[in-house]
Amino acid sequence: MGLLDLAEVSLGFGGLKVMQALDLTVNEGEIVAVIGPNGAGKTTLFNLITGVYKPDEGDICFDGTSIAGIDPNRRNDLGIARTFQNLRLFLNMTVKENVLATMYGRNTSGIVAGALGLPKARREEKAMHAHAEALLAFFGTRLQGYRWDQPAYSLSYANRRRLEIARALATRPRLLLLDEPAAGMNPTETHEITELIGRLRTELGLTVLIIEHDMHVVEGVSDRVVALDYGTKIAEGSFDHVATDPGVIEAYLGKGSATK
Amino acid sequence: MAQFVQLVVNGLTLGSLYALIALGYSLVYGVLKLLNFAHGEVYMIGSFIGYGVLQVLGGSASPSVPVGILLPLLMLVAALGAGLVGVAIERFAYRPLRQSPRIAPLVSALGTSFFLQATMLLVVGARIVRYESEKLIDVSSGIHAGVLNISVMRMMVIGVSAVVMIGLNIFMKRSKLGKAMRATSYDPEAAQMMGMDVNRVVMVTFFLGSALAGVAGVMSGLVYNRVFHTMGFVAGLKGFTASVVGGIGSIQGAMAGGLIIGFAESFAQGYVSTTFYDVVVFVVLIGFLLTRPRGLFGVPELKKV
Amino acid sequence: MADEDAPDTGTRSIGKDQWVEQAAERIDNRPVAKLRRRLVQTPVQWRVLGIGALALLFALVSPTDYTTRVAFTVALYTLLATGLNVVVGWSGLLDLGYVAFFGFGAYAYALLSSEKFGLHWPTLVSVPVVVLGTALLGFLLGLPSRRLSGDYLAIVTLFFGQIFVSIVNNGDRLQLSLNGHNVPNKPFNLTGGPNGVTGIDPLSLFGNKVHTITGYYVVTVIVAVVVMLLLYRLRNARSGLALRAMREDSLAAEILSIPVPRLRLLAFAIGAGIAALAGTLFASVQLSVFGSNFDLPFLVLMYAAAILGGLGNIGGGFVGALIVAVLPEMLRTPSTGRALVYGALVVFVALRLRPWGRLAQYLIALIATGVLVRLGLAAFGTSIRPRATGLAGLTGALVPHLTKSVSFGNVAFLTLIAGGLGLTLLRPKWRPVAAGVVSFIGMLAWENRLAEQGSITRQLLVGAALVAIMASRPQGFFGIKRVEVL
Repeated sequence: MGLLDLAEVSLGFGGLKVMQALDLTVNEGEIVAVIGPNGAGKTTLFNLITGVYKPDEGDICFDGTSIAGIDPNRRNDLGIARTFQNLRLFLNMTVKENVLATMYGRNTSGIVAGALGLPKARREEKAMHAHAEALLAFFGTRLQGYRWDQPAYSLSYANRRRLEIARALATRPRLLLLDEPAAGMNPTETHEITELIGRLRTELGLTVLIIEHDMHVVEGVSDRVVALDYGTKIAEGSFDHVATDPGVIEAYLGKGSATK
Repeated sequence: MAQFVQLVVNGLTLGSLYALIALGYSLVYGVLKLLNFAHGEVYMIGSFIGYGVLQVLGGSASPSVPVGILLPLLMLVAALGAGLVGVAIERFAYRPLRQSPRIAPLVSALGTSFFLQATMLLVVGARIVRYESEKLIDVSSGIHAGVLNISVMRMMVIGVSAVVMIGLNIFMKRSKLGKAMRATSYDPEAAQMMGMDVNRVVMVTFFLGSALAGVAGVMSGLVYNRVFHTMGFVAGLKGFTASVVGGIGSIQGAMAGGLIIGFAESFAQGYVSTTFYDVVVFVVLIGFLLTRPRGLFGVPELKKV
Repeated sequence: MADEDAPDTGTRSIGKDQWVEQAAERIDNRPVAKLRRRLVQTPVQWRVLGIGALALLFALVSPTDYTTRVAFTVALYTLLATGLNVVVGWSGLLDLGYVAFFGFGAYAYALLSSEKFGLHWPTLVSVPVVVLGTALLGFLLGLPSRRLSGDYLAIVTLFFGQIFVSIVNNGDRLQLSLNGHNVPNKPFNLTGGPNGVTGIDPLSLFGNKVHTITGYYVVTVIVAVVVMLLLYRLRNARSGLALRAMREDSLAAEILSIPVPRLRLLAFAIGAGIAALAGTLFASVQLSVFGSNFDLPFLVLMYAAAILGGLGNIGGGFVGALIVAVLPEMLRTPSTGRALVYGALVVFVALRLRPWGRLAQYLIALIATGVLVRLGLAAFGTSIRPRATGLAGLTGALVPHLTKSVSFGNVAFLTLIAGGLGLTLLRPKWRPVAAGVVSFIGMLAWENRLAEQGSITRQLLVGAALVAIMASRPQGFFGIKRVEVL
């Protein structure tokens, strides 16, 4: 029994099966990469885990309890957070506010306490600010200083990806789902992000499930690789094992490619 | 029993008008994913245009053309006028906002609606004008068989609505423009890249929807004999409710929704309260939103992540 | 050829590139910019308190009860627009039933503290009860829509507003005819119907009854300032951040721990509560309430107030309220209205028609149209009304004012709409000339029709302003421009 268990999970939109009886286990402390060609169902997998979609069949368990039927924000409370492939920051809020906002689930002060500025709310806000600053410091100098109070839309693409991660971390997750964290980054930035993902485990003790197209990143960070195609698992194992699997090569390059 | 039959007839008449209005909402929503809140005002203006034409042609007492030509003429001119108003609304109130957040066109529509109401208030005044259709067609003519009483006017409303809706359905399914409208509703960008003139499609959509509202306006003036500058608000609200109940964006849905709202209102008037029937319609709306938020014919929307 | 592009060094002491380079600096050093910077650096709380203090000072210097009443209206609208801002501006929910909550608060106060049922609850009991009760109602109304997108929410709330007005207007004979049986036997009079509820108790605070409009003004300003300060605190607290995040991206917010459905209800409830608070003030100052106080025009006016000032920022409500409350007062009499209209026209022309060549084109077109219209009218033998002295006489010299002017004014107005819309479609090159023609038609419409119809003119302006501001400056006059991903 791992931290995350998917058992026979299926999902269809009308006649289109986008997930077919998928089994997947992610153990505590693992970094697992999900690869596969476009449309293989990788992001759908994340959507199923975070509750955007509810599975038609099968069950999703987190830490031994079924989460298949509960709302997204409750899943986050249990310890699942994610980033988005196409970046969904709170664009018109500042960098710091982006991180503060998602601490909602880990705090308790209500609207009356917040509006009146009762001592409890003030204490909590102080702690939130300290935590936000610590989280942003995790990314070195990139999201520091004057950037705290800049709106998120003013950030560069790479910094937006970093802020997405910081925002997810603010919910104090146990399992972090990263959807193409290195997309659109240059080689230096890609290298940085690879290191960072490692630090998520070593320094913050997170379990990470990552979707990535950049094979250097996949090779660099993952303990285990899962390859998907047409909503089914076509290979699983170490990077070298999956990368040389004929089925995977075929999925990427077309039928007949593996034999050549 | 007699009352029941009468309520069915009333509901059918009312429902036909609501369905025509609802079609305007649904057509526009289908293509632009936009709620045209000013649609009710177009209906109101259509009704006034019909009245104006009627006056120009000598009024109800002594029309200068035979009734058989007069009524279609009223509807045609009102459809044309209302259609143009609709196109103008799209061009000036909505098109500049096509790339804006969703709330912007809604606010703009609210402003347009208010502006149109005030314009008619200025031009016509706060009075209620009457078509005096009883002078055009004898009220007692029509079918009177036992419990069934249905005047010619009401038969006309139901008949015209049915014909218009069938025509629209065929237009959407068969004609090139109809197909372009459906394509645009699925993916405006892709439609544009495939060589469709999206602006033209949107214009036609607004014209069609508004023209239907104009026809509804004239028919409402003929049957209910009350035309005033704020009549569009409640009618628009009901028409909108009809399109939501039927499944917004769907043509069949608009028709079904119109009839449901028409019957709900008619029966509520008959069996519950003559003043609070709106509450019943509201309850129907809430009930639908709770149990079938996409309406009768609506398809569930895919969340994009 | 290249020489033509070179800066004219004879008249300017620096080169064009240098001039461009220093442009930002020059703008920074303008007195207005300095003032603005100073203002921006002042904490929001101090700004709110400062404006509040100035508003209270106005109570001392206000010359007549009439001016105090207008000021009261500004304060009340500020409170309402601020509440609306929480729902629409922060949370992104299009609440079109907002005015119904205002009305509900007013009626609830009226029923609890008036002659109507002989209930005379003390102010400090009835107001909190009404506010909490209305907040609860907002919560309940939000329930069916909590899973629905903004469009559906808009329709449910708009319908709710309509139901409220309908119930209030017919609430003097509450009776159901269930299948022919009347329940109850005799119609029950709850709201007084079109006659409204009268004989409402004035506010009574700590044993002092508030009787004067100045007193109500002071109370409303204090309430508005307190509400604004509380909301500003809330805006940056846990719940406020979550509300704003929900507006930015509700899906991302929900996945990252924010309970979106619940927060929507919360936003609704806050808005409803503030509206109800304003409602109690409104009922107590008027000493009576009527259903017609709470219908669509008022809703549109409140949206205009919230949007003109800028959605999302705390002070926006005040600016918007100032505009929508003072404007109709100016349009009330033709003479002040005239000053407003022609003043606005001159400012607009001065700002938009530069350089001189374009201004000249505009003026020539304006005068030529005037001459043509005069000649046309003379040819038809239409009689022109003699004009008064002063500004009216001055404009009368140019703009014909017909004796039988209603339909002429209507035609001029409809032409003005068509011309004004057409103007936006023209190429920039032709705009000054066309603007001249349209301006003259506008003057005709104003002098012959609009000037005497102040309340309709206000409606027209509010409606047109909402459309125009959405197209040109959706963030309002003082809002910060937002970036949206669609």
